[in-house]
Amino acid sequence: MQSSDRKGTKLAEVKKAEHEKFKGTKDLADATVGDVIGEIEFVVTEDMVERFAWAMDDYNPWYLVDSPFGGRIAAPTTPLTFDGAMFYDYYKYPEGGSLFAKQEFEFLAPIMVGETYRLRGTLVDTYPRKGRTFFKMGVSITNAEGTEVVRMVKTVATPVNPVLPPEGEAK
Amino acid sequence: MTTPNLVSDPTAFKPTATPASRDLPVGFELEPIVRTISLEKSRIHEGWPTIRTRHCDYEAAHATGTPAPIANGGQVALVLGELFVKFFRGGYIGGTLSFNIIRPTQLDDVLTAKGVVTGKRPEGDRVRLELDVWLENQNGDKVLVGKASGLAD
Repeated sequence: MQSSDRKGTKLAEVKKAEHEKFKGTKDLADATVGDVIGEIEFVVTEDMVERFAWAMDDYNPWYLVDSPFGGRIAAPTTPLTFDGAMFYDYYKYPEGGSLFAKQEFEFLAPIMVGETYRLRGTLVDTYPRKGRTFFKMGVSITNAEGTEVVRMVKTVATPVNPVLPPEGEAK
Repeated sequence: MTTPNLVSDPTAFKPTATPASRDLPVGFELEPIVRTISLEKSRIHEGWPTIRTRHCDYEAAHATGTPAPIANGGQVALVLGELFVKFFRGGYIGGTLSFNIIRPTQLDDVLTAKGVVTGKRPEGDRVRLELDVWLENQNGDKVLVGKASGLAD
């Protein structure tokens, strides 16, 4: 086997391993507005909050010690950790890779460390732009009592490297 | 170019000097936050070596066509989240934050989160401040651009 072949095989294995994180099976070409993408439960653990604090050098005592909300809270953008995985546990991860393009948050209540939350996602829009297809997922996060604490819209796009027609040709 | 002094001491949390207040004028510029996402920081965020992604692993990056790991957009967004919470404090509840990722962030880029008050309007007995927020790199290029709002007393 040539060196470049070996390299190609190894890289293909790594690529496969990365994509195997996701369990999605529905092809994005078949995505339809209204698709119920999924529902997951998550707990923001002390370990996660501390890992993010170290990763970002953001040692806000609300995350690490206590907050005015009656305990430690998670950084408000922490749900970003979960919603992308949910998207690709429903849709098949695209061969051309995926870009995180846009995020919108509405914060209704804090996310408390150690409590269980439920995150539900629905496909709310798709549109083409500059050789990519964009997918918007609406997300609602509720606490154990069913009270909504965060609303989000996540937009992802694929492929990572679009092939655009030469200038002057019809789009 | 000089490298800013980056916080690396867990006891060194410093609240913003001027948090959100109803008295702040439109045009007020938030105290910037400067952060660098190194390979080490990216690996902490991603959970390497258990998890190997293009954000923390060279081979995974090569497999997706990039010569080196690039920062995770979610991790980059945490810098904007930090600016948002430091400024609004408890007023982030009832607030909004949205952003577009317009340029990839390379590891070791020096990111500066900035914001400016663009509007204010009464909401109940409080005031909602509206902001333009963005992250720029060491070249002055914007990598995230967005809007935020929150409540102030």
